[in-house]
Amino acid sequence: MGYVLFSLLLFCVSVMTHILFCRVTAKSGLQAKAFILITFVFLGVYAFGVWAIQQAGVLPLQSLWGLPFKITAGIIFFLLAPVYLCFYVLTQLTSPSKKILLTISQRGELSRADILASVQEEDFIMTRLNDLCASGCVTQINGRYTLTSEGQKIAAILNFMQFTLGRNVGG
Amino acid sequence: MTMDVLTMGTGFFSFGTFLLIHLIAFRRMAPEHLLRSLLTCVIAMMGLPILLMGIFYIFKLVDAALQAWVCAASLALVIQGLLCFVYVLCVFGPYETSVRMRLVREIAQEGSKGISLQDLLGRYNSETIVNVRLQRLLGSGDIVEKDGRYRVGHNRNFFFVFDVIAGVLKKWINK
Repeated sequence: MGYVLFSLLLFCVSVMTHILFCRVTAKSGLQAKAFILITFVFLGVYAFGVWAIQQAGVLPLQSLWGLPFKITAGIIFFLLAPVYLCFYVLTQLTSPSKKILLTISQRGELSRADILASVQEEDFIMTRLNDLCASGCVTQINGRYTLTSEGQKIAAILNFMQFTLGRNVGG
Repeated sequence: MTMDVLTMGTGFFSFGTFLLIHLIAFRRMAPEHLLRSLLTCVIAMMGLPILLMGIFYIFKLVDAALQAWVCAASLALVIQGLLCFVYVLCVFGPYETSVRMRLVREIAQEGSKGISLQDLLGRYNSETIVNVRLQRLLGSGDIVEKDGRYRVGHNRNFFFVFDVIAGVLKKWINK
């Protein structure tokens, strides 16, 4: 279990490094790519650490701490990265469901019209559409929105997902 | 086979089983049943890695002490849990609920001629967003409706827990 503890420790350090980076960087917006880079650096540190622990022989195989879960611990570290990213994205984005729940929670009880007004106030569609234009997935020409090649790739993935999941269009 | 590979394999196999059940059972499931069914499915599947590890222990697939088997079962459970979490929040969730993804699909339908904002809003608008979400939230019991008024069903739902964690993280990032 020593390897698991080591990987968890490194994950915490990578999260702290990312938080520190977000606090000092002048760039606005999501810093997800920075976290992905930090994660890969620390995965490298983990791999080196595992090799060093083995060479030093500090964890006896017979003890609980020496149980050789090296790959498992590495995978746990790797899977924790998207979990952190989910929470990190939530610090900057509000989903419509969260908005509805928080509004109802704050005001006690609401009618459907009140809920609709709160969602309209947030203007989810225009903010998302502008984001899609800014990220280069959608372009607006003569007042009409079309997909760029990047957007078409996303649409193809969504079509594949619809085929696989067998579900109606989401949203 | 080492205990490490067995643990990892059990975690991934359990997730694969969850995925298979999910792909079969969730086809055409109504939005109002989605959240509750997904949660039930995830929780029910949590028993699988423990069960598999128990079977492997009985058949002594790997020669190891009992404490190693207990640790392996726990870690397989963690791997399966994390895989389910990542799948639900990063793959299935965005497909099912993302406004951006829906906009991409609506624009894609019109091909190279594109779509005007007016037409786009005619197909997908705040009304659609609210209708689908109210259906989902009512189905999961997160909100309840009485005489046309909506109230929060229970305060310990995932949205509030996530909001608290994101709030703490935001404080640390913005200090």
